[in-house]
Amino acid sequence: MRISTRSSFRSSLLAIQTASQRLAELQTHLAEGRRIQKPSDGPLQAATSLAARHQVRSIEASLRGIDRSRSYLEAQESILGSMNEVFTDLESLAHRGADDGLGGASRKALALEVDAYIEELVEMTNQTFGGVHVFSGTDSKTPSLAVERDAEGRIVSVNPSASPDAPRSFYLGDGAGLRLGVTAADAWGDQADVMQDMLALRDRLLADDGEGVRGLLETMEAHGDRLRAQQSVVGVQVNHLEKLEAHFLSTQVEAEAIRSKAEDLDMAAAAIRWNQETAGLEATLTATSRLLNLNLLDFLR
Amino acid sequence: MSGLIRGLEIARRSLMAHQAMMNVFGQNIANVNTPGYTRQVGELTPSAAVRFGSLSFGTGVDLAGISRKRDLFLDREARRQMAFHGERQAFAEGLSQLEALLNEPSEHGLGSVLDGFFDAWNDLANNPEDLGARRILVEEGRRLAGRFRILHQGLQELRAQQDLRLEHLVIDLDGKLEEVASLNGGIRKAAIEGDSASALRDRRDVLLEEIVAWTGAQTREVADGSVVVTVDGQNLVEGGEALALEARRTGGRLLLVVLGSDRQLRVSDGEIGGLLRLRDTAIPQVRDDLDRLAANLAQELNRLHAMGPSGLDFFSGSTAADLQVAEEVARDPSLVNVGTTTDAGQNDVAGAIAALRQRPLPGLSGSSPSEFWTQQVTRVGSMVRRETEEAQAASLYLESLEARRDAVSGVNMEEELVGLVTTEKAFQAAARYLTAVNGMLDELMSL
Repeated sequence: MRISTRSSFRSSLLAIQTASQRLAELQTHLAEGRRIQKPSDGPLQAATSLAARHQVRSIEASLRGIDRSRSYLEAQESILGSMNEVFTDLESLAHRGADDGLGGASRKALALEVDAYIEELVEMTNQTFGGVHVFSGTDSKTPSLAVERDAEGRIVSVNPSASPDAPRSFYLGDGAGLRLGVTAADAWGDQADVMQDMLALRDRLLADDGEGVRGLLETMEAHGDRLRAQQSVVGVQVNHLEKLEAHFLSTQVEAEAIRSKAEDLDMAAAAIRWNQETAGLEATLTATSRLLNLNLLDFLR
Repeated sequence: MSGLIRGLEIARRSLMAHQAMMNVFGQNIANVNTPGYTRQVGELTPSAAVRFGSLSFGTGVDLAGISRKRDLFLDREARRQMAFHGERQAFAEGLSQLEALLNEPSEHGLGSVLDGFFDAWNDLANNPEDLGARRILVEEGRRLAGRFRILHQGLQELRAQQDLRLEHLVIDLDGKLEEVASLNGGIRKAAIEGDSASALRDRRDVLLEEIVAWTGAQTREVADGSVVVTVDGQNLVEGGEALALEARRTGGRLLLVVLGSDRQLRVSDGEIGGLLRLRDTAIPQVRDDLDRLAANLAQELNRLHAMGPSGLDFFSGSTAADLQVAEEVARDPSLVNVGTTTDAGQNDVAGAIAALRQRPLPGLSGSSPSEFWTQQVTRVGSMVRRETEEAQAASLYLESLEARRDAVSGVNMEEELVGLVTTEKAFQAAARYLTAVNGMLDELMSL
């Protein structure tokens, strides 16, 4: 086949341009460290990369939710622990108050202690964490319990103040709200019944009513069990969150690996290809320069 | 004596013929780099013999003609391929711009902004009392609406660019059609005078190839040497007459119309065909999908948001162009509904909206917003890849056709130099022959 001079030059130029373009593309990939810079670089890999990116972002949001809910539960767990200690002391005090040998003055002294315990428990129940009343459930800006006092400042009644329809929900990734923690109603009963019984205990101690105090012992034990059970519930939920977090962390690593495999450049393979392409361009340039210098004019005399 | 005189005539013819041949080679060498130039070949033939008794004597050489070396089959095939390549190339280039506009996969693409928006709802659901989380959410909402608008504007600008390019192409096309008509006239006149009009034909071929590459026009040479150029069954050039075209915008569409007759041309090949396909098919499809995503997202989100105490929509607008955070909510983030009740810790609304990230929506063909967007990005990526590969394949085939055509029509410098040297030697030999005949005549004259 005849080769025209122009065609020969044009194909040389085309070969140089093609080799240079491949090198430029590879250089961009190397500079960014990414195999997929635009969807057309690999539509399937781009889809995988985008899906993995969404998954990673979703997991990160879930992990933030887990952090938040765990802090909330740990605050509850800690307060419930303190409440249990106080309540255990209260139970022990009730047993002492039920002792027949105890005189009226001693029972009165015990009544003052009960008063202090009630104050402490009300204060703990109304405690806030990050501006949120920990045991008020969804009605988190309202203290859980409201107290009424007599002229001397003594608590005469304790009633639920907040009106939670349920414990707080946290959204941890699957789209459904997970109800976590306990409310004051879980700890003290729907109408703060435990508090009413503690007030009754105080009043019976004040009235030196040993029989009446004895009548409350079983109830107080039941209340203590209920309180300890609430702490266990929260403890179980904290454990559940830790497992959930571990699951999310492992899924996150997998998603990152999938994203990286789809999107990131294999640097070793790219470096080898860079050498190949460079060698290809050098060979093209050498061949072209020889071809351009080869002219019959140089040989004619 | 008459034999020697004939010898002088033979020498004269040879010298004249080889001088002319030198000009042909010179012309070829001079145009070695001229685009569209067709190499010329001088055709030498022995001149008519004369009989002298029973003997027949040659009378030398004649230059029978100078012809252009073209292969009409290759020309036709190359033009067909130019139309196909022009369409694919223009469409693929435009699609690449569209793909770049999507800016995926990246931290700044719509996919990432969507994630940020749903992250903000998730964070608000887990911190319902936090006004800061509401403010962040409103900002993320603005960012998302802004990203939709930027994409919409980008698509509009891309379409406007195609319009501008099409309008310029049509203006240039008119000029080229006019020039072809004018060249037709020149070639017809030259044909009557017996001239091959090589230069005019070369120029016309270059113009025809550009016209075909732009429009996919059909070209047909008729007996008088002129060319008829036809697009969509309409003769745009016939003899020395050319019709003028206009790119006319009508109802969001750009039409190619023949001036005077208002005849609309459907161009599906060539660069113009590719640009029209991009403008009227690919760009609107992406824009419609973007609007669909914005509309469905806003509709579902507003439905959930309106369940809260403020009863307000979160977004106003229903397309990518006009989507924005509702004015009241943007002004006062406390109006963002987090729960269905006024309880500060109630977060069911925010939780349900956060779950939209992964929830299939009927209006999005059962895909979640993120999945739907990923599908659109992947679809555009696949289209770009396929069209680019097809354009590259068309380019390679066109290149091979060009090479084959060049093998027939192109100038090879070495070949011309060899021809030049051969002709020079023949000229020298003819001159020597003339000297010899002249010497013989001198001998005779001096008797």
